[in-house]
Amino acid sequence: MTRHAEWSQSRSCSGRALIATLLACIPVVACSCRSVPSMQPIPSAATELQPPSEATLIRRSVPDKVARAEKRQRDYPVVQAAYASDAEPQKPQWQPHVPVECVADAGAPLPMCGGSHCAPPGLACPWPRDEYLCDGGDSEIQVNVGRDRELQGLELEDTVAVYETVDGETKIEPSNRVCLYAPRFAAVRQVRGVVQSEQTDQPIGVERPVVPEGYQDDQLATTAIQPEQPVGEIGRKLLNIERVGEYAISAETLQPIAAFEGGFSPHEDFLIMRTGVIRESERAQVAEAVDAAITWTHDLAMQVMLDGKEAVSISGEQKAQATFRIDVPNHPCLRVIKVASTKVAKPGDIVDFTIRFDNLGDQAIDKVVLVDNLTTRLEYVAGSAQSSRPADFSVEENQGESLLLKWEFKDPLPVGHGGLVRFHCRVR
Amino acid sequence: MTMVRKLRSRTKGPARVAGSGMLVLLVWVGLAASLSAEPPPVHFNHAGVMIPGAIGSQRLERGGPLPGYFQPVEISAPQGTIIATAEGGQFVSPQAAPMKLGLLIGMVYRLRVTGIPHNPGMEVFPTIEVIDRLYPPCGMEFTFPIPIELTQEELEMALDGKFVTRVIYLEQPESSIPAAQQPGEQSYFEVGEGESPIDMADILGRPMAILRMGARVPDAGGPDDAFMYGSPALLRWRSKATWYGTPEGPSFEVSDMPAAPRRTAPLRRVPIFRGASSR
Repeated sequence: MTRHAEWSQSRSCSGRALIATLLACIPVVACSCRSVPSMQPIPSAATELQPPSEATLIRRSVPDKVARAEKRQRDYPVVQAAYASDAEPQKPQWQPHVPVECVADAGAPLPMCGGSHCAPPGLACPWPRDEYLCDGGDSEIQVNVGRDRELQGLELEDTVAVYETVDGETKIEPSNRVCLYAPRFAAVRQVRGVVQSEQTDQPIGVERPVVPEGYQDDQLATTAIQPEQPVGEIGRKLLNIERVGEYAISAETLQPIAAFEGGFSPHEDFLIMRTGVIRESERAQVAEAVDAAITWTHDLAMQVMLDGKEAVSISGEQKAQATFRIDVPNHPCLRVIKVASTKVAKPGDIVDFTIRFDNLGDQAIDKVVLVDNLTTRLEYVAGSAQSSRPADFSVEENQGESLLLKWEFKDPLPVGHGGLVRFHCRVR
Repeated sequence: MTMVRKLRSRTKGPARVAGSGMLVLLVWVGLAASLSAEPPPVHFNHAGVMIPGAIGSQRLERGGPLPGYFQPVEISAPQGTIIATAEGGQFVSPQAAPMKLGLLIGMVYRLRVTGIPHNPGMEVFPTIEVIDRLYPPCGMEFTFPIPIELTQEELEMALDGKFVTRVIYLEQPESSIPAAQQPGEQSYFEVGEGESPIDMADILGRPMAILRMGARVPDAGGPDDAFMYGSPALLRWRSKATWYGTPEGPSFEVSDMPAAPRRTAPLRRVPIFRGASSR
């Protein structure tokens, strides 16, 4: 018990020490949490398609900041505004803003932290979002294809390709998103009148109009609707017989059976062949047919050729039914890449967009349609659309008072093939 | 039984102490996170129009890389207009518009505008207050300045005794005005006297700068320090892509500003791509 008491006391002391240590660490953690978050380098819009290499974005240590600031001062001389008067200039209270965390391209100093290089931690690029003009990709609402092949959920900035696979499935592939630094400004104006000296001495009078206390309007009735109510009811009979006339509708099908003459042949006229259900009374006949089928070896049996490719039999030797399987390639994949000719643009500039699409799957795809829903600030330059593959190009107005560009490619896109479309836009 | 109690207390003792400490730490972290939660670094809301400098000061209190940053602005005015900046308590370096300046955020800069067309000898003393900054790609800060336009109409309004407030805001790309904007033709909305232009700009986008014109003129003895708002420091920009200090004496040429890059060569024809060679 004595040893246990000592142990308990020591554990209690160690527990208090641990709590004290944790409480002592709280201010330290608090101070570190309240420090100003440093700017983090982020990949630029141009490197969005490929992961940035470590050599392009480097975080420098603290001593390098001073050398970098000195080098920046040499390269970009910043001189404080001089004062024209003879009075002694006041020492400014501010300190020059020194971006301490951003370098790019082999250590070249950055005079200022730009949006494409630095962003607060936790914010997605490009940042700030309102300074960039983006186009491409699939935004918040996912684009779908309706039954009548109408695109649903196509928002502004969306660029998608729609195509059909060999098995008739419709797929949608969005492109990447291209962002340009193109801030645009507007203004809100207010004009107010300014009264410099206005004074009211005293009222010269009180205006107290006398209003009528009441108002009565008597109007004679000009129309009376049935002032007398009925005093009795002769009788009322409800309908108790209803004759329903239904006419026969001729039921006939207008679709003749094509390429299927004579119904089922005697050797296949079984319920299992028709419906897949085995009837007990037909078992003997089926067994006879099975034996007949077994006599057909693979060498003698009909070779199945599907789409120019030999089928592979996976049937067993003692089974009548033979299932032939062919490995139809079913991994469609269309890659859509969108690029822009510049990373920055001002209102009025012309930006060239190029969209490349490649069939990277293992099957040809058909009915490829490329749609680019231009954002409000992009104005399509008429006649600038080009396509490397035969396509029907059309435009239509969209919800952003811009245009929706659509290329409907005429030919299927074989495996490994691709194409380009190109168009020009004027930045509004 | 006694041994069992010892072993159990032995195994639970450290865990209990550590658990208590962790509980205290978690409670503190939760409280600290809720107390120190900062508003999102986007728009700000405030009540109505405030005195010059108040909105910028509030913006600085919100944190961010704003203090000490010279936000480039480009002041344009009708042809022939002369603009002088307040430096050292005096209006110096008058020069023809347009002019590019680097202004500190949260400060109020007083200008003197003379040479207004059709109004010889008249002066207007507008103020500019930059309340937010841009984050352009490095090296392109002065390619994308905040445009501040002194229009002929508003200058004459100020001369007529009106007080004109123009809040320049950054448009949201999703809700921008669906019309082409030519250089020197800034789109604007008009609000009435009972409304707040800064609140309206906050709804439409991100307010960047406030231009105020009219009402105030310097005293007969010359502009005092309050009129000049302390003549905060500013930087000028010349087309040589270098910063330099405010020169004393005559102004410099600003007409050799580089034009925006335009495509001059014809577009190449797109060859028809065939085969899988592109993969």
